Amino acid sequence: MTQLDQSFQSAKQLPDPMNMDEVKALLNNPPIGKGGNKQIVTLKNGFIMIGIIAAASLSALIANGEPTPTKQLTTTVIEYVDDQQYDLKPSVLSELPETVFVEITDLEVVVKDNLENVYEYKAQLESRIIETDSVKEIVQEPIARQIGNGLRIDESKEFSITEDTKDTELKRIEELAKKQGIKLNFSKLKRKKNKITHIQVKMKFYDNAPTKGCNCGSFSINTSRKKGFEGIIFGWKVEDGKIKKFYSKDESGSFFCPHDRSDPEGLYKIGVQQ
Amino acid sequence: MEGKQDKFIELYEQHNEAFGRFCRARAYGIMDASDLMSETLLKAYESFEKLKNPNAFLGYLIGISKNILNSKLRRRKFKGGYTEKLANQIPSEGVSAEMRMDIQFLYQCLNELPEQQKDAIILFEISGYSVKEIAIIQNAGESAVKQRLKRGREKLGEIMKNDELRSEPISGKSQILVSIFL
Repeated sequence: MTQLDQSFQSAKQLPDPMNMDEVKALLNNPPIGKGGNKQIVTLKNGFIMIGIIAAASLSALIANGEPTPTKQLTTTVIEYVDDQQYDLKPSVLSELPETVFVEITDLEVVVKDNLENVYEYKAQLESRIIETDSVKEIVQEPIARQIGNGLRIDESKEFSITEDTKDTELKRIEELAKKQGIKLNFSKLKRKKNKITHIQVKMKFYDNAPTKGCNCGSFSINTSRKKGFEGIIFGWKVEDGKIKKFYSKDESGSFFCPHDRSDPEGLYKIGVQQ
Repeated sequence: MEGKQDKFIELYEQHNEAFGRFCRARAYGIMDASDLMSETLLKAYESFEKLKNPNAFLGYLIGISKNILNSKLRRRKFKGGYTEKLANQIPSEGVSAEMRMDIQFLYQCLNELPEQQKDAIILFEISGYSVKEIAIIQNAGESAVKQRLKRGREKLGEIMKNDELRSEPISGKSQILVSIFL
């Protein structure tokens, strides 16, 4: 066993930071104000707001000289009045009608220093309403952007590229395909005045794709340079959780890979690469 | 509410030990491991309804914990510093002093690895997850994870060796050098 392995073994022997009983207790009684006295308030319109009362930081400021705060009293009132939606950034708070929010008000801190002197501080504080990073980080909005002529990208199985499709959207399709084990790339991409004029789509499985169940080696779709770009629709068919076929469509029919003459949808054509 | 909690606990229970070890290794020098763990669990529980695929639960937890660490690190840029208090994060109960030093040294060296290699090594070697599970967490292929593990171990070995050389007294250094050349 190398020294490195020994170190890993030692690290494995450390006790857990929290056992299951502690986890259950935490979920049953989440501490209010943990991490800087955060209070999460969900309003009717779906906004999530976090009112942070800076009690801890203020008391730390007051407590210069290391006295120990013995009591903190804070009151928080956020009153929602109408259904209007506001951009809740601190900079625009002052522009909101006063009736919308009654701001956080009184803060009382009692501090005792090392010589047992007791100080009482009272202050009026404004709460800050912030769209926090943490909320943004956790909430994953479903991606429902319209690609090209209107197929939803979140369906993840069929995509349409029109002359207006943007590079970021192409990249997003590549990423979605990758999640399903498909190596998809767009090559020979040409644009004129920001409109796509030519594109080639190539699809094949990654070697370690978990859903590999398709007999198609690779599939590529080339748009015609002569006819001009008319958009393409392509995707894959899923059966029993496995991807069985790649396909592309245009107004004259569909191309499937692998071919299946028994498939009623299989309006195959010469030119499908296998 | 009860149903949500039961479901959460059911998914989480099997990962508690491994996730705890991940938090301990990842939080070293940044924040307290139990704080990281509880903040992650609270955030994960709060948005649990939004998790559509239960198979992604582990990746969801790890993702949240990394976000928390990143935001702590961002804030720390302005505060400066790594303190003595943070260095003493390794619990002393049930662990010998020598072992503690060993683990502390390992965590310090891990912090010098690139992010993805560090995560892969911690998840595989310390948390005990399989390559397949790590591939799902890291949204990468298994071969990529294997590569990260291989390179990470090599690099970690080098870092540990160099650090040992640096901290050895001159006589010790020469002995190590002699043993390397022999």
